[in-house]
Amino acid sequence: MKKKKKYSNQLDAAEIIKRKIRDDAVISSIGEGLIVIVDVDKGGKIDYVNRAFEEITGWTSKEVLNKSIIKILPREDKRGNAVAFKERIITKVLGGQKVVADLSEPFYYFRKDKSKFPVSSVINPITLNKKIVGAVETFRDISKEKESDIAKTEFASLVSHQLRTPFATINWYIELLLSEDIGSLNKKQLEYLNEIYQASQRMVSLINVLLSISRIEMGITEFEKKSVNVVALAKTIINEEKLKIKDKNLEIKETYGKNIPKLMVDPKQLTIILQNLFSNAIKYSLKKGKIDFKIKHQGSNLIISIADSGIGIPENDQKNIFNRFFRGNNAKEKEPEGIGLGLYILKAVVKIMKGQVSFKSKINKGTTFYVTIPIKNGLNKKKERN
Amino acid sequence: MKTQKKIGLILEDEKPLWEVIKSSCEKNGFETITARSVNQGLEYLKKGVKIDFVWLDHYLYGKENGLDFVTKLKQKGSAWKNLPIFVVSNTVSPEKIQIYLKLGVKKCYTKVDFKLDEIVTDIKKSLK
Repeated sequence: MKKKKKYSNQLDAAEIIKRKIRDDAVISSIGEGLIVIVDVDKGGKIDYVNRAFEEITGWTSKEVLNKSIIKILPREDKRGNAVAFKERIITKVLGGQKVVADLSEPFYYFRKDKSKFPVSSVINPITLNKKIVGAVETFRDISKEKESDIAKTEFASLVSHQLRTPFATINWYIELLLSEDIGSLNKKQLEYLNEIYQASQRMVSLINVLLSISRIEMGITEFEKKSVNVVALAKTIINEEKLKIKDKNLEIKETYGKNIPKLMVDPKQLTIILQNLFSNAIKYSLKKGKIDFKIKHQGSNLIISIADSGIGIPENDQKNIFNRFFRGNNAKEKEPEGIGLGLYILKAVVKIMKGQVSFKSKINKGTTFYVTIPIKNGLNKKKERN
Repeated sequence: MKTQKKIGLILEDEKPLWEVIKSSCEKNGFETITARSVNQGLEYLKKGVKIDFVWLDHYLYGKENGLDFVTKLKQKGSAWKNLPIFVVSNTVSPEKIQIYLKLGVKKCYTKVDFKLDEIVTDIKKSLK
């Protein structure tokens, strides 16, 4: 019996060792740097690091064990200021705060050789018997991603400059000629110059649209959050469209709910949404048609809707209307000049705002678009990971 | 007594635009000096040419750009720290605009979004 128990214990021990070897191999193979921190009261001591940590930082496991995390891996923000231990996310996690890795604010760690690198990290608490006994952080060096982001931004900037500059030259010289400051023009000359000017403006609009798309698709759209009065913005856009509204003798009904809160959003992005909605409603409305525009506050969302009594979207086309360059046949017939990017951009921008866009439509009866934007996080630049 | 005309330094790499910018500035009562690069622009200032404002494009001839020019003008001890600078460019990046504004430029305009006369009239208003 004793022999059997000793043999059984030996098997258990062997199994434990086998599992430990396997676990060590797994942790060792993780591609991201891994640090286990304990003793937060004593400034956070390193209890374990994996092979990737050694490769990324240049420190060996032996050199860092039981050392203070502040001394081994000091942290700096994007402005070059040292981040105090109590401000570090790992300290907050050890203090019981929910895990958050803030990816919107780049920060930096330092290698053994004092060179710094941008980092993306995730921190989880280690709990034992419902008590937080430490934390584990996984991180990776995102230098290449940051370089790629910078390259993309510079590329978009250069392309926008190179494409737009010739049109600035064309437009400004035409304006100078049209002003007749340097000599009078006859009726035909004025007419022809105006045609050139309009065509040039259309090209500029097209370039702007294509650049917006490329920035969205490259993921380099930048935001400038401001407190925006959506109702006031909508009224401005309606005012800008008044000539086209008058041309078609359209009836516009505006309904604004009570207590519409301001949105913390990029006003340019919201302008794109409203401009696209109105532009389409007006374009595809027939003469003497009706447009019903509403903004209301519903729960934690703002709902913008616009209903026209225009040509509608054929059922076969409805699944494609948010696709790039798609235009239904009836739309092409009504408005030959469109390029089919407005709704694509609208949807992309609404998505960035963590909102939703939907519609209902019937051919020759009209279309209603609904845009829902969350009020609290109208624009959330922070990415959260668990 | 004749009022002295204000002089604008037009730092713009596109030579075709010089003529039309000059024309609009003169219509609005300004005189202009044109330059294509940061070095050329700084040379005029260092020679003591009386400049009352700068029209600054972002992408310029040579290695340096508009940001480099502004940084040099705004550095500590610079004699031209308070010279009004108006950035007129086709660069869209809101981030770059923020950097320019933080460095102390007066305003930023995107060329294709404005008529030329609108920009010059606005600059004239800002200088009053």
